[in-house]
Amino acid sequence: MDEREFEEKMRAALRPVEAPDGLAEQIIRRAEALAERTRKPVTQQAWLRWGALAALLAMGSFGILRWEEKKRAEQIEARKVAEQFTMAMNITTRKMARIQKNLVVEVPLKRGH
Amino acid sequence: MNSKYLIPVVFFSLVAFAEQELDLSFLKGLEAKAKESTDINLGPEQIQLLMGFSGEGSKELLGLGKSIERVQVKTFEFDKDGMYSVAEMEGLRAKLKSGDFVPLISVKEKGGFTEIVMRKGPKGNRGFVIVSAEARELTVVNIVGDLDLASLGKLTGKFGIPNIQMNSGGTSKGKGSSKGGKEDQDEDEK
Repeated sequence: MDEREFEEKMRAALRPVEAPDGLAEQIIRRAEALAERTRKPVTQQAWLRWGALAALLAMGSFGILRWEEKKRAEQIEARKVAEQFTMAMNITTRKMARIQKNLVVEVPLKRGH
Repeated sequence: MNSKYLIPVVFFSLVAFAEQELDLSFLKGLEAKAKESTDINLGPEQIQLLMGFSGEGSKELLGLGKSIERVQVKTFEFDKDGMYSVAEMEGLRAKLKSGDFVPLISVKEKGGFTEIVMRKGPKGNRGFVIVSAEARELTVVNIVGDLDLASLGKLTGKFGIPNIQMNSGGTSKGKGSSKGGKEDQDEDEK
């Protein structure tokens, strides 16, 4: 194939061709139909957003409630432990004082005899 | 750490930890015979919890709690004599005269005894044990931690603990500032 022949073939291939009637409208219609099919209704989108937010809030509240409940239970337990600890110290100091008193009382008596 | 050393270290740590708690299972069932009884057993976890929730006003308690690892108290008060086995208590007493315990006060009374022993650790005192077996009253106190008897004196007059003077030449004297103090005073008057 020589140069001239090639140019003619190229020209023929690249010549402007008229689009068939209604092709543009057909393409636009198809694109719209596709968009329509994939688009979710506005109400459904809102529901999803609010639902997600509500779930998040519910989970957060549940977490806080659980944490507060745990904290309260620990506080009650700590108060109980504090009472027991104080009682234990009370018994111990009282016992120590009694032992000390008995020793102090007994020593002079033995010396007197 | 080499695993051949790890196992004995863990084993001896567990043994040491277990030794801190006195085995008072032989006192089981005495609650039913007693007029009044108290059973307190606070381990490291509970004391940690107490420290976590201590108010600002209880610095002494917080300070003491930091040095205490275990508090074990058992008391029984009976209506009549001979409600418990003195022999079993003597067994506990004998146990406390061996191992890491150093006797501090040992009093033999009619129908009973009183024993105070200090628990020795590698760095000093590791608490103390009080065993008081009287005719109608039985008390066992086991406190584990880096503290001495003088530290307890700082608590008197606070948190409902009677104001008792625990010095070398002092006598026990309730001031009646708290319910406990009044009871102690009454006891002294008797």
